[in-house]
Amino acid sequence: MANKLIEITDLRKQFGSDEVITKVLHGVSFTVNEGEYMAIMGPSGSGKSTLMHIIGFLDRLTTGSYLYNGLDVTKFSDNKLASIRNSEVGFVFQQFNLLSNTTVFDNVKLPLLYSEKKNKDELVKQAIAAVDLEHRTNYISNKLSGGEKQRVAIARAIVNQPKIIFADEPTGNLDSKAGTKIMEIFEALHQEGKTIMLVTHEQDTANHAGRILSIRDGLIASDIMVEKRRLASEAVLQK
Amino acid sequence: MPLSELFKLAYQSLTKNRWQAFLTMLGIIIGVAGVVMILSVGAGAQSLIFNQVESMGSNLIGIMPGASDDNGPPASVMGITVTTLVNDDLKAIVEAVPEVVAATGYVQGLATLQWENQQSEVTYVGTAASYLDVEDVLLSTGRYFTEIEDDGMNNVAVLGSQVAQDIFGSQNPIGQKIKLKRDAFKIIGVFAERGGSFFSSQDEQVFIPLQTAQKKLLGISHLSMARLKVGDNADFDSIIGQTEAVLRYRHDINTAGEDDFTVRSQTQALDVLSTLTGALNFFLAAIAAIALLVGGVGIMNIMLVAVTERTAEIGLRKAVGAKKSIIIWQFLLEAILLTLIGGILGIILGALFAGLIAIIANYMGYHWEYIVSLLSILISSGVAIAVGLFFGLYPAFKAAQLDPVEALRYE
Repeated sequence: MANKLIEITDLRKQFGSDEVITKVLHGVSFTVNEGEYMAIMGPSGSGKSTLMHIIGFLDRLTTGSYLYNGLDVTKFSDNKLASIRNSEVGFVFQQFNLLSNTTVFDNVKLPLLYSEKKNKDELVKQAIAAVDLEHRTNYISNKLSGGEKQRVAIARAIVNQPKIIFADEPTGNLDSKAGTKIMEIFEALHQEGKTIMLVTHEQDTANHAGRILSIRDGLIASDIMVEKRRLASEAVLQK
Repeated sequence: MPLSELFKLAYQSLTKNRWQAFLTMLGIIIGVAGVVMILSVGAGAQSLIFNQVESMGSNLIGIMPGASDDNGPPASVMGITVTTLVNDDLKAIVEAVPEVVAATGYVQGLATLQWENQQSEVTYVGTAASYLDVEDVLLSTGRYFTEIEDDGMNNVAVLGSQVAQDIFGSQNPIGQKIKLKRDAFKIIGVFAERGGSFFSSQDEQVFIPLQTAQKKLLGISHLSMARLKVGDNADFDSIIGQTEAVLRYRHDINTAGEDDFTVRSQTQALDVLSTLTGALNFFLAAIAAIALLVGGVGIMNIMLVAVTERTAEIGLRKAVGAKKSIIIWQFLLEAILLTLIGGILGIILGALFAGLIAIIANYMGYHWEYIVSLLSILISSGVAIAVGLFFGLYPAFKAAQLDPVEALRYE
């Protein structure tokens, strides 16, 4: 049986102070197994990015529980959260978020600056090779195309050999060809056993995942394994 | 994260915006250079004054007309004319205090020196015949005037080496007649070169008998000041006490508080000078330190701008695992590195300027020592780093407090 990596129960999140409170998540519960490839879908403002930030240890929930590998994340200090972000997860953002005027190599190396790992340069080279960018290693990041920038971001996300990769609209700023390449890389990483959580509002992108969690108005609207979803839609069509 | 990596990061950030970094540093460079230069020039000037005073010999006692407190200068030094000290006071002191081996009074004035068709503005100094013994000075040629010539108010003159050179060039001035004001003076000697002092160069002065100067040129009977030379290993306190007693008796003074004169040994005079120049140095260094402070505010300003400019970068660093303490150190080290590099450049610049001043002063004939003390370097670089730390701390904390999610969204 697959190991439960993430267990979320009745997660609620609100922003603001006493006077102006914005409730974003209204009680979300689900589990993610190790090695799963999951897409979180939903329209803008549905709370999908907020959910990713919380399960990605970038933000804290307001109420509810979050167990990571059986450990209560709500009890983690800021430093512990920073350590987990460094060792357990990798992030890929829609805007790439690369350091400008910095080489591909140094961008990919960034997480390793805060890590105790040995052979850092070797790990950087391996990560760059995994996204087929060896020929761009010493390029300044500003000079790359959008697709290449996102591949650098993926290399940076995997350089620390994390368990989970969080990707927030990773193809949102790319043309379809570059987007396809990015999704192929995610597929390959999934095949290697990485857990992948993809936030997107594009159905085509979500379809690459094995499971799609739909969020609407801060609640889970559906949680479907793609195979089952495909069968269900075929049944609808037959009717 | 090792400190070396943090330094590398800070260095990389600074080199990315070289001009911005340099302009930020400029405040620190000017401030530190100012502190180093002022302390160096102050020390140079102090040593020049001290050497000048000490070169006259350490066994001298000075008498100034007018009272003073223990640490301040007498009134006569401040430009106030006091006429209470006269020639007979000195004679009485020499007779009453056996340890005094020589004594001379001094007066001085400005006059036009004329020789043939040459003219020059000079300072003439009237001294007693014992001047040579009191100040340990040497003549390069000729002789100094005698007591008989002084008492007889003879018109004889001894030239400072520079005056002799300026007026007579390679000619022998002995026996020549010059005019001071309207009186003709016969030159009987020339001093060996003595070097400049901070206030005036004795090489540029003309020395004439005291009473000639008083009666014929100035029309006065008092002294501007007097010096006593005492024997080696003399008891200064006792001699000063005896001198004061003689003067009080002659001036009808009953209590020390009513003294109309100041008697000081060379050491005491040096202490007063040291207090004065020290206070002046401190004042000037404080002004330079304000420049450092302004430089510090500039650093804080630019670091705050950097935090805003680099919000997304800070968010990214936090997202990939940088702890708050690391972010604080990164920004703090940038500020410290800015001030440290600025401080080093400032020290070099300040030392260069101080060197330039020393070269110019030496060229002008002063025996100016070039002193850049380790203390001034340590103080200015220490203050620079402290400024960096102090003004870098707030921006660094501000950066560390940024919410990574908000920071990542920042464009």
